[in-house]
Amino acid sequence: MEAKRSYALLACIIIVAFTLRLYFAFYSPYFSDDGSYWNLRQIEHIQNHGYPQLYDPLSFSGRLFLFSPLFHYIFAIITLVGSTWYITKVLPNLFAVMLIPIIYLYVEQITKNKQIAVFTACIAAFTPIYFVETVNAISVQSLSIPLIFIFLYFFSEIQKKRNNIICIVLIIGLVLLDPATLIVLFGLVVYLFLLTISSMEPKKEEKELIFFGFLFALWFYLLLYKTALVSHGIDILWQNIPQQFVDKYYFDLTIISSIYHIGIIPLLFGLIVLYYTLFEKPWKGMAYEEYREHKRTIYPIVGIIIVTTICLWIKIVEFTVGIVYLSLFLVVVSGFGYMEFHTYLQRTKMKRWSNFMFMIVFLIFIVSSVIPTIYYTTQRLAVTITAKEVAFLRFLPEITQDDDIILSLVDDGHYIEYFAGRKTVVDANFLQIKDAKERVKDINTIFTAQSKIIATKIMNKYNAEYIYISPTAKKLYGIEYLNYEDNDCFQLIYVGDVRLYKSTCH
Amino acid sequence: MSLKMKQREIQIITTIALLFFFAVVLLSIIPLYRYIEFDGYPNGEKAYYHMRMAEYIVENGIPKKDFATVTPRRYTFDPFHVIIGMIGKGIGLQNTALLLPMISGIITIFIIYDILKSIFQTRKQRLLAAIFILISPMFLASFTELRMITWISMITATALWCFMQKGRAHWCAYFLFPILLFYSIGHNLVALCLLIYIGEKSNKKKETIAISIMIGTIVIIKILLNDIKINVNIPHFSELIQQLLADAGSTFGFSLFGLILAAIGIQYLWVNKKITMRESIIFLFIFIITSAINIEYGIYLNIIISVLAAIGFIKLAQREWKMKQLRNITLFLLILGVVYSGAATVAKGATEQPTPELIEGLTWLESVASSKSVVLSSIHYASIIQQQTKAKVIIDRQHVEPQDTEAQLETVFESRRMDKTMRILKQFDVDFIVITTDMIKGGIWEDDDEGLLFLLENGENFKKRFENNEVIIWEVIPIEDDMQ
Repeated sequence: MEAKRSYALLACIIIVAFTLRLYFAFYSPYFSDDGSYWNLRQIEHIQNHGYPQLYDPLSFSGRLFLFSPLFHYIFAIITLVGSTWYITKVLPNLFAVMLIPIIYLYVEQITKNKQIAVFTACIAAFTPIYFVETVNAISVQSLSIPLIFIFLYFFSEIQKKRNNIICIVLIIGLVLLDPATLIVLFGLVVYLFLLTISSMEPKKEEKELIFFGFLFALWFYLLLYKTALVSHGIDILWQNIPQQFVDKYYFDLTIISSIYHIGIIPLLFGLIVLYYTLFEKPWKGMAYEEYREHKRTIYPIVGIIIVTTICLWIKIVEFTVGIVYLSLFLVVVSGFGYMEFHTYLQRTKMKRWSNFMFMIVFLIFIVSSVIPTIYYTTQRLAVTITAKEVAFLRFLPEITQDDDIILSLVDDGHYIEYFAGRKTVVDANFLQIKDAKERVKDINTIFTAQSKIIATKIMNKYNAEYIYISPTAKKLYGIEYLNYEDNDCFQLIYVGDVRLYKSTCH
Repeated sequence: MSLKMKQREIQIITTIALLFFFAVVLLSIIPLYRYIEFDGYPNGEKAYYHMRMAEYIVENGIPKKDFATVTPRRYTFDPFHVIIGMIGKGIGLQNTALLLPMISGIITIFIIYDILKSIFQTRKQRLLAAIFILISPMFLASFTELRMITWISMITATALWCFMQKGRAHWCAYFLFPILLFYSIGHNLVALCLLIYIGEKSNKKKETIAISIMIGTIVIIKILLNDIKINVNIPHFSELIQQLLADAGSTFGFSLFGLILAAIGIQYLWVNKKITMRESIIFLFIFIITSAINIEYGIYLNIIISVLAAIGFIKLAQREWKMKQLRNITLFLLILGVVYSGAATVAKGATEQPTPELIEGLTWLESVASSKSVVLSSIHYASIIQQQTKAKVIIDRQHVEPQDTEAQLETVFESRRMDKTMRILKQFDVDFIVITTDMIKGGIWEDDDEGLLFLLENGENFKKRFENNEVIIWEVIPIEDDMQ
């Protein structure tokens, strides 16, 4: 394929993907997950004060946060030039589409085939899980994933002096940006192991960079999370999420879930390449040296895929984070897979059907990746917080006192903190909360209990004044009103799409 | 004297001065801090047990039983208590408890520095290895708090050093090794391993056999006489990590960065065939004892790990780096990591219990309680209470009570039933209850109205007698109805 044609095609893919992303991003004025509002609060805090909010008086009625604020600083600086709302809607999508040219360059560099590079970039643009998770959310992955691929692009030719400086800067940036970078670092350790068992000597620069990256990550995360590590022990891997909630974030990886989160084409071609790379000898017509070189280029990705799969399997990485990594790395190896498939066809009597075969593969890709991407994104947007909920939460400060504590569903915590500016009993950030398990249990009791005495006791335990029932809570518990509602201890003070109760017995 | 000789002498003095400086600075931080901020009260509850026993021995001779718990228990003689008592008589027990670990640490590090001659060729490398040992969390924890291990490790190091010497010093080993027989079998077995290793290295096979037979025979007699059971307790993986790593919160653990460097050291020795099967077995043996039986045995492994870490560090610094800009950053990160673990251990040790507020409470308690009074509190404060108030506690760290005592105490702490609680308190004749903020904030309870706390606030059987920011002391008032 000519360079100009491939660039034109690439530009088309970027434009289509970006337009589609913006369409979905602006479909709702709100973000699709509560975590985005926590990020937004941090960004706004940095804009106003110049530093992140490490002590949050609202979350869990006052707690200390442990996190690396680089991502929030980047957003805070960029949002200085315009509207925070517009920029936070556009920027994650801009970062996410950056992935398309990066994957193009990376695949082109390792396959030396522009057609395959364009095809892989196209698959990457419409990987369902990555699209859904980054389209209408302020997600650190929208930035960290493209940076990881930039890092791998330069890492593959690390012996060049310019590249090794870029790699050092990128690995430091990634560690500061996203703890999930540890997956990449462990993956690169597996890469060294794979090289060793294949009797290939790793480049000295690679060993040095991986060792440095590992040490830096260890040192930084130890400094950052030491107190959490001391209080939670190994549970820190699950972010101290109570068992009742673990299943929500860490669930089993199944074939079916992989197909619809990743897409059948990258999954199939990716797995075939993994199999051949790990277990098969050089296939016919391939020189031994060429085969070794092929392995060397693909092993870093294979290493990361192995680590991600193990982490997902033993459930020590959040499912969505793990599956995003797995899907995009499988997309890259699927490029190889398609290349080998194409080469194989050229050697068979099906040679003249190769264009037809490509059409079929492309069609399957459209059906299994593009359509699910649009479908799941629409589904995600449907559960976004509604304008009515937001209107009520914005009205909440007028009917409550500054110090009032609101008891709500875990998923509604960040919404209350952001829109209403009121203290909560729980939200989705459990790290360093000693009684997280108990709080989640108590919330569950509040929504299901029959006895107002029990409910009052719980409300008094957390000094909570109000119970907020969102449409999500109503759906989750199948309730319209609290079972123990009366005008004695629990007064219903707002009825609409949401309910608000005031606890009056102390 | 030739110029070369003079330069060599200056180098030796400089190295020794540097090591002395580092040792004094690092090991004196905690005593100084305790003098300034904690009125000179030693850190760590174990220190108070040793202080109490030392005081008793100096005043009354060696006791047969220890009467500081409700049920008196047999006292096993510990020469360490005699040493503390004798020094304490001269400079005071508190000063002894603060200064003795520091002095023992300085002596031990110099002895180890001399033993390292057989491993490292240059003085600089030896100094580096000694500094790695010095800043390791386990060494700092051992020599900044008055523990039994402070004394045992100093005796082991001195005995091994004497064994390596010629002439009179060598014969001292025959007096020092038997001291270890007062302590647990694990220490003896590890000392035996190290002795065999050093004996072979220094070509002293006959002497090694003689001392080994001596230690071995007494260990066997000890096992036969005392019916000693070795409790192998392999903890859960997460507990093991927390127990082994100082960076994960262990008060007596290894440095993570030290372990990484040690892994590099082992890899270097392995690749260059400088590590033998015998050395690997000794390493593995100490590792198993450390992780499965008692983390205190880790002090021996710590020295091996620190030496390996020094080898790893030297090899990393000496190797040719392709990315030159990374070399210095990587080495700097490693040093930061190792120093960080040590610094965290010192910081933790410096602020350990007892605080001045707790001492204030216990001083008040001493004024109202008699030696027959029984005080209920967390096991973490038992030795401090025994030493500061002269009263008895129900159980302490040295207790050999049946497990149901522990279960009964757990019931007292957790139950909100007055009759049940009063029955158990009566059974142990409890007069006072000492509650600290640490106990309320996660030590025993999570909430301030849980179990016994609820009863203390709402029951008529308890009277609050003392309160400050750190401690509340309740008196138990038996009411006839409850007793029936």
